Amino acid sequence: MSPDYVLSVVDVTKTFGSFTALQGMSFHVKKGEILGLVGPNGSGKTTCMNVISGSYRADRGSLHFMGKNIQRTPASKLSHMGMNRTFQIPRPFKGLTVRENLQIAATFVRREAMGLEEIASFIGLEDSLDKESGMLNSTQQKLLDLGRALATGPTLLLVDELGAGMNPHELDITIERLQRLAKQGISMIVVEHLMSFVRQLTERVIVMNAGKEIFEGTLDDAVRNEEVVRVYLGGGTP
Amino acid sequence: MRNKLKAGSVLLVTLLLFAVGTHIYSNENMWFQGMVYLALAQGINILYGFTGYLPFGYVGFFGTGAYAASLYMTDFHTQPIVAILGGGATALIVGLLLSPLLRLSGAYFSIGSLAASQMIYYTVSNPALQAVTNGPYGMNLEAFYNPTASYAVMLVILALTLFTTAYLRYSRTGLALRATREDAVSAAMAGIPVVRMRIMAWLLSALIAGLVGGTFAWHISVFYPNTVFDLNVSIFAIVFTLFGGGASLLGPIIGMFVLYGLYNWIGISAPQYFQLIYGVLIVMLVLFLPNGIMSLFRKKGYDVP
Repeated sequence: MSPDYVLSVVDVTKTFGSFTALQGMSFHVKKGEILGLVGPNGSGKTTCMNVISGSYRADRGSLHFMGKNIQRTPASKLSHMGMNRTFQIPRPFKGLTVRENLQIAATFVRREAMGLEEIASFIGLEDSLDKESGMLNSTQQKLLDLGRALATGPTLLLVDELGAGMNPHELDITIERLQRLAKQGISMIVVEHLMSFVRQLTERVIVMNAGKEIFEGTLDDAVRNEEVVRVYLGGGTP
Repeated sequence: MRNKLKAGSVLLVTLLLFAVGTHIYSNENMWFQGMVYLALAQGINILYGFTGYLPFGYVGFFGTGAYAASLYMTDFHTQPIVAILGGGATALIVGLLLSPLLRLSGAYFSIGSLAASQMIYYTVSNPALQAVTNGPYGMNLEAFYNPTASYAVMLVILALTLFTTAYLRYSRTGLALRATREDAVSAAMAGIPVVRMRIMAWLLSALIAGLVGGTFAWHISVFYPNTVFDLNVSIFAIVFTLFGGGASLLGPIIGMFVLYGLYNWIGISAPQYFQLIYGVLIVMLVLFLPNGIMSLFRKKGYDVP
């Protein structure tokens, strides 16, 4: 295992009852890299994120973060180790203010991170610090999830469909923000349906279907790959 | 600093009122029960207000404390204060044994805790255990009866309870508990040990109910299982907290003074009107003010202690 890898996932399998959501997934993330994770609905992208971030426990396989085995590490520990995430459906602490949302993460995870004011302006919520986060719109709530993750000073950030529901202008800003984070050395896994978003952010993507990896490489190569095209556009079973 | 001042003055005024209350209005029993309900309401507040777990069976800890403290006094001849501490410790142990209940959430947890309290009640009041708990015939602590001392002890327990709530209201521990109430998954990602925090709040509220139960037993000195395992105790404490508003120090205090005041004003003389008003009040509250009276002030921008 190369020490350059921030995260390595080897042969990870996750089943729910008789349904296999992940089937022998293996990949790695390098330092400062933005890895794209794409695939049709139900292909296992979010399950993959949940297994990595400690919400689910893998049935088989191994997970290493910064060289440490994290197969049985709970989410609250992972955040202390420098892993954090955003959620497809935003999950802010709705009854608490934006400031409190950020404060909690910053006080409980004592890692080097941006200051609260800096994060607030980074996510464009500097004028809403004392607003109850439940009153924010869903894009703002997603950005608050991002802000809360940043408050923990992550080395690896899992970004789950951050772009969904954003208008083109917001998307451009978000892409620029994520690129800035990558320049600071934060590695990312980006799950996304919007291909333009993925294209601008990533050099390497993994295409998933039915819990398995079917392609790894650049997005441009992916769209020329027969299996990827078949999975996305439909067609006869092989 | 301003926060500490506000919380401190609320604390002081409340305690002073109970300390001198009997000189204003001589019904000591009313004041004592007021303290009991306020402490229990704050116990509910610590669990429900801060973590969102509503324990219908909260009275189980109260009864456990009452019985345990009584047994320590009658069977082991311990000092009442030591016995009360023992009652608190016993409730704490029962809380620890029941902590798997926290795996449930929402209504399931409420019902689960209710069932647990009924289990304790039927065990304690079982005639087969008459040799130990005196079964359905209750306890008699007349030999230890001391209304002045028990009133003072209750005041101290109330002070500790209020202080704990005030601490949670302004500390990062309390903020973390509220975060777990809002979203447990996000709370974990924010580095909060969710399960440990919840169990801590649960045990704290159990300890409070146990101490209060023990003191209550000492104060009234003769009681039956259905006195200290009366579900109305849970309901009163819950309604007081809901009325005022959880996750605040002042909410349950306001709830207790208004509703318990109402109860003493017309609840005993005209119970039918009281129940009508009470019922209407609860319905209105749930419909229009689910976060209690305090949420009104919060909406206006006042930072309620």
